[in-house]
Amino acid sequence: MNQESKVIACIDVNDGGVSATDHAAWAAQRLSLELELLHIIERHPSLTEEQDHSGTLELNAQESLMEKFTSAEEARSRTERELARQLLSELRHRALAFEPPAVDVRLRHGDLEETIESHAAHVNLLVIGRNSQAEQTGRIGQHVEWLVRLAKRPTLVVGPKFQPPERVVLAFDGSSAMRQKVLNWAADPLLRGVHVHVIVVGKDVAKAQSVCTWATSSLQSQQVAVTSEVATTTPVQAILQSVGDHDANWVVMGAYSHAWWKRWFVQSNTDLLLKALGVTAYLIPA
Amino acid sequence: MSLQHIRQDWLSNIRHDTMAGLVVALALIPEAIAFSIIAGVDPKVGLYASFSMATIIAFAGGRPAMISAATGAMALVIASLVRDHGLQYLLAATVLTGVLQMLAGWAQLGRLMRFVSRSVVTGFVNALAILIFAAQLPELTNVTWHVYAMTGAGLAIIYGLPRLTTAVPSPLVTIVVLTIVAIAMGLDIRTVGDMGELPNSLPVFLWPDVPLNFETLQIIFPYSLTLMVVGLLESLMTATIIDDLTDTKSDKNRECVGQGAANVATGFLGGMAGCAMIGQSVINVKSGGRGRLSTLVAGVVLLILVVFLGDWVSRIPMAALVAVMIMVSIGTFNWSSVMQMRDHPKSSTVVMLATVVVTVVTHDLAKGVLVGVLASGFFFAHKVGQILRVRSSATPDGLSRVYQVSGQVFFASAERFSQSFDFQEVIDTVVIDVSKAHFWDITAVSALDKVVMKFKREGTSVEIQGLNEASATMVDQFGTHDKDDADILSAH
Repeated sequence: MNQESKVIACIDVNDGGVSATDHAAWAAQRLSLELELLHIIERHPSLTEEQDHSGTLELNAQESLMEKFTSAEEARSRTERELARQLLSELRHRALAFEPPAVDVRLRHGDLEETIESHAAHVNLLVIGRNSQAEQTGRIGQHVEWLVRLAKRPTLVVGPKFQPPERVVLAFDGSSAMRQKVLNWAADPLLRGVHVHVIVVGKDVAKAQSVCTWATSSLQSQQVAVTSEVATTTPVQAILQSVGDHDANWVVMGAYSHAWWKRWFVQSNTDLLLKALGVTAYLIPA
Repeated sequence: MSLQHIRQDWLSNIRHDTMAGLVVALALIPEAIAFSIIAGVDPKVGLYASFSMATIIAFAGGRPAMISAATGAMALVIASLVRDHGLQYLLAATVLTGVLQMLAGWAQLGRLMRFVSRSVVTGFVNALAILIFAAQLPELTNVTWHVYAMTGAGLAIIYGLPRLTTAVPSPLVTIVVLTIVAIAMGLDIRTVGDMGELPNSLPVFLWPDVPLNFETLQIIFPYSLTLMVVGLLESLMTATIIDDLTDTKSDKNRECVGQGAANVATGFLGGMAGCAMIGQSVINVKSGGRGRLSTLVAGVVLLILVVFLGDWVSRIPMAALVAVMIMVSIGTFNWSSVMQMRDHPKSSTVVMLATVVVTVVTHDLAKGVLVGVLASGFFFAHKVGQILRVRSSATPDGLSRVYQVSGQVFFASAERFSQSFDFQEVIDTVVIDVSKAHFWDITAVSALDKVVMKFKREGTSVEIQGLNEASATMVDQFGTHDKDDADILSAH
């Protein structure tokens, strides 16, 4: 495995980043990788405030707008910087308890997705918390979707409580791209000692059954404890049902396999699931 | 284009971009009409141009969130072409302008913007504001008191309403209110409909109806050249302003090519040449616009509104438009530059004023900027020419003297350099140490040559020290940095 690769926890000040840190530190310890706690101070101050749609140009329009932006940004970035520094140093201590090989903290200005994309080569696993605010507004998918698409790295979307995997539901579509990934994943130290329940959804039961058999036997050959089922309902329903039935605490699935612009026409299954799921989701980029 | 760019430029700010685009679309309508009138064409020519410029720039431009449309700067240049040769020649000139701008972009001429100093930019902006204001005066002369009352009321709404609410664009409210008042009271005042034809359909692709010969080129080329310069100047200036406001970067050369592509398309769609607009771009950013989506929304909404509301647009009283344009000119003018005249160096003020005066007199922003750039170059050379010191000391035996030259020697300081030596002194040897000086050009070297000659005539032998270091600055674009042995004066 790449020596430089890291587990990155994307720390969001809104949810305190505690759960993301715990999961990431645990994963880093399991994978013997360095952990990085990353917080981005996004710089769009003028967009968070009340908008001015008056469409007028007052005296010295440019200068006054510049002054307004600068002072808003200055005040905001100062408080945010202090807050973030304090938070990161607390989380660093917290992470050390999991004994990962190393813990690094990084505080940057800019854009989360852009930062992750440009560092994608060094990312082994991304961990992002479900921000309670985002969950309420149903916008959780936005960040996650772009992170998965741009970084093309496995991403762990975690709830507010630390849940190491015990009973895992693996949603498998049987595509050739996913087959290799499932094999890799089965050997992943993160899933050492877990019980896996494979679910294959498809209208063509015979085909789904053969896909299911392949997955089960592949996993069994890697000494993973496996059960399986084939479902004919919608993928979202089937996975939610299965999670409930098996009291699973992780779901592993391929994510965002459709082109990005299609989300205006078809609701993404990944998005729907992320909104409805109460448990940790391990997303494998398509 | 990478996925990250698509996300960043188009999708990261969808809600605010859409709202800002709407605000800008509404603000663009009166401006496009007003600038058509300045150019002497039907309002539809400016409106089509604004639609096509904004829409194409959304994809092709190098500065997300910058608004391009029919502009005052371009309208001023166009006016005489339309008056002398008609609309078709304007369309042909617009296409040619676009081609020239694309060439300029590919040749990376955007880099030349660094020679346009801040004072010139301020002069440009102030001249533009003055000209936009002056263009409104014909609407305010020889008219009834109703027009003054309407314009006054319009200004009151424009500046007063934002104190109550910033949720609705106050120029739009002004236009709606004044139109209703004019219709309700049956006022006999000029309306937009009196100024010419409004769009009643989507624009269509049309080849400009001009003979394709050398004579046509002779007519349009000078205009296209000016339009290219003015368009790129205003666009790149605006891009810098938006860069600063949003604290992000833009791709200036892509912007040049994008402006070109937009103008080519605009000419074929029956629109007048356009460029980026300082005022509208500031309004867009102020309204929350950050991405390309804001520009696209502005263009598309503008066209939809105008095509479907054409009848209503034609009833807008000119007084309402005048009020909006007065606001634009007041907002564009850099008022602090007037206050700063006292504190800023006189040379900066002179450069600014020269740009303003030349532009206002010639109605040509390109000429104004050219004069401004030349003047700032002149002042700069003069100032740097002051950075030259020649110290001398004689050796104790009185037989030789060492001159130590430090500073910049070039055309503007060469004479002062020559005068710093005492040729009448009776002395055997003179040492000229130039290792702490920079010789920038041929004038500097020949000045040194002359100094050496003069000393020789007096029977003094001359030794020059450190010339290699001093003349290294002369080796510029010829790229011969390995000319270590280029001892230009070795013959002496």
